[in-house]
Amino acid sequence: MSEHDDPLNAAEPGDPAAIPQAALRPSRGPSLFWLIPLTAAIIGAWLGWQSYTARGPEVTLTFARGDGIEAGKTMVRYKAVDIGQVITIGIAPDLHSVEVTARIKPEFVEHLTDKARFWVVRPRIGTQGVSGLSTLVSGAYIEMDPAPGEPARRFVGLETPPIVTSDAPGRSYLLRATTLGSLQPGSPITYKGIEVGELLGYELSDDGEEVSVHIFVRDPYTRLVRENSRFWLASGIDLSIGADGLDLRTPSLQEVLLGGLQFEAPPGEDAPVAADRAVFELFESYAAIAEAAFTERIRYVLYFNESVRGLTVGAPVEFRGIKLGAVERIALELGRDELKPLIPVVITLHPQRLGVSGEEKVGTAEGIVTRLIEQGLKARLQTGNLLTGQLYIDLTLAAGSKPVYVTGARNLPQIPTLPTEFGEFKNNANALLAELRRFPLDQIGIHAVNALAALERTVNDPGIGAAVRKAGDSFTAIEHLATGFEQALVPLRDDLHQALGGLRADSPLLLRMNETLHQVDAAARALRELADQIGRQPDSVIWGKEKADD
Amino acid sequence: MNYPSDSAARHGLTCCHICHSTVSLPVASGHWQCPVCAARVHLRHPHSVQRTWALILTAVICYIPANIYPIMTVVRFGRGAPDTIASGIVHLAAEGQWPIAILVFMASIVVPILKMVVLIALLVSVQCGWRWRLLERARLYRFIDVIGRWSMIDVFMISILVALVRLGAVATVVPGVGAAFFAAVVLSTMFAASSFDERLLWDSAHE
Repeated sequence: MSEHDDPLNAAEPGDPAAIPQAALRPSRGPSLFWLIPLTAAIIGAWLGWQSYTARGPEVTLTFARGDGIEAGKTMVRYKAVDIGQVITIGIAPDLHSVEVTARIKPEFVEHLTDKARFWVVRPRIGTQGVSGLSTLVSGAYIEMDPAPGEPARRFVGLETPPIVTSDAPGRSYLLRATTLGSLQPGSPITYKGIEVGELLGYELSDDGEEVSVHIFVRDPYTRLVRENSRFWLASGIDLSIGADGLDLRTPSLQEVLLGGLQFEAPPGEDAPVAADRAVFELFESYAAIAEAAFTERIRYVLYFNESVRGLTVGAPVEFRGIKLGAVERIALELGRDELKPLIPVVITLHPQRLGVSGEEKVGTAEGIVTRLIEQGLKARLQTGNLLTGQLYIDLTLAAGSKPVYVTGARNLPQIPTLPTEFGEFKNNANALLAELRRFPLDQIGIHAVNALAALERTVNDPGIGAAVRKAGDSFTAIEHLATGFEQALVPLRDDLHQALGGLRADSPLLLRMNETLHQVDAAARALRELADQIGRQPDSVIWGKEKADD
Repeated sequence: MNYPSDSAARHGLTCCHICHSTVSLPVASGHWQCPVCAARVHLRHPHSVQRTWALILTAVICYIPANIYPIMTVVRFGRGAPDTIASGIVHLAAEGQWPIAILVFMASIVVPILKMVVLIALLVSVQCGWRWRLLERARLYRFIDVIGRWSMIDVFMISILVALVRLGAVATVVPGVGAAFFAAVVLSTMFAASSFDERLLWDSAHE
């Protein structure tokens, strides 16, 4: 152990014995190096476990096309927040669609229901505006609209973004229409000009008879939709020429392009607010609502024997300018026996348009019309529009003219017709011309010419001049005679005046005359009584008057 | 090949790494210190094989997440998806950047795998005491010791890109978890290579 005591001096090159011996260091146990792979393994295992638990479910989405979708890149988003990522993209086995698998974050699993909708957000430019511009830079992504429902893992993607996402507050309704018109998904629904909702979509009913239109009305406007609300198409431009001039009414440009719907509740009726998914009827126009309100209809047939060019089905039937009904059918009939062409026009009257005043019950509408026909109700064609030559049917009360009935095979009651005013005028003019034609104008002319010639000969006769002169002399003599007569009358008039002066009301002569006349009257009465007495009892002259004892 | 039949270790002698004094060790195992400068002395690196195994194992463990997880995300104009090492190489190749793709492939895949495979083979050969092609194995060890550091090129590139490319919406580079694991792979293989005592190879030559 001497080397240990003096190691430096013991060093002798080449001498193995002189090489100093190393000192023993205390051992520190097993190598700590094994902690390194252990730590790495723990960290790796922890990361692996974390990413395993962070793995969400895989969903399969089916799209018609795969534009812009890239495996491993395209994100699935909800409200612009990433909730998943596309893993693979492939073609469906039937080659009709594209199948996209995406992994959704586990915290979103509960929202993967059969009601959830997926669609690809791309830049879109349409009538409803521009959307998805951000995807020009960021690339397309898949948007999700979750909705409560049954859990699902396979979805059919939408081709166009839904108009209303399920989180939008509001209600959807179903409208039944006979025709879709110019409506499209996204067509606005307006209430008094304010846009309150949109059209979601439409489908044809199974029998192909009607169109079911789904609409969505946002809160708080849903309270405007009552159970008795009426919806109508409000598309197009309304151009009318009235007494005030030209009136052009257009809805908003969007409504012109996309069509639109309007609705309102009948005024004065307070119906409860309509429930979600309530069903309404969609009317073709605002006027159609009023038409539909007239449930009571009576049909009449009118027979015209003149041209009905310009009369169309739906043309109004008016009574003194107020619409009472419409033309329902126009046909042509030939009477079998005389081959006389007749045009039966079937009209529908809406008696509910006719207000009846008075307390008395007048009976049915048919009864009223029958009574009106008895009072001379007639129908005639009138020109409604001079420019287009549109005709309408005018009902008038023409008491003078006799009702003309045509015997037809129809089982409908008939309203007699009058020719049009122009036709009537034409008829009258024709009759006048016929009369004139019968008048012997030429003969009258010849006679008149002869008479005038004779007259001329007479006037030119020299005897006439002498006669005229003699007549002048005679007139002078008559004048003299009259003057003399007048002078002779004056004294006579004075005498008469004097005599009548004594006959004034207060003159003594008149009073006396009155008195005398009274006496004469009394005497006359006495004489009549006497005559009666003698008539009944001739013996009373001798035996005196008998007492009346009965 | 003929090797010298004797070695210092057979005589219990070694050289202090610090003061270069020749020191005799009575027993091959155990921890000793230099009697001159008190530095650690040992015939061979203590637990060299064990430590190298541990580090190689670490590298192998870390190599799995390094390849599974993305190493970085390049976001250009809002677009971009995380890239793993392999997908990055595929993208580079797809874009026609063949030289860079080959460089990245060599640095990120070939070199680490080569290092791990070679080190494992050397460890196995040392433990089995193979005397086969000792010189070639020694050269192989030195080769991987030299090229090992070049695997860090990927890690350095990611670090520089993350620091430089901060252009907001135009372009951003975000490092991924895989980058950290890849750095761990490179570091642990480097440490494994340095902890491997080359002299162990030659011990078998003197038996």
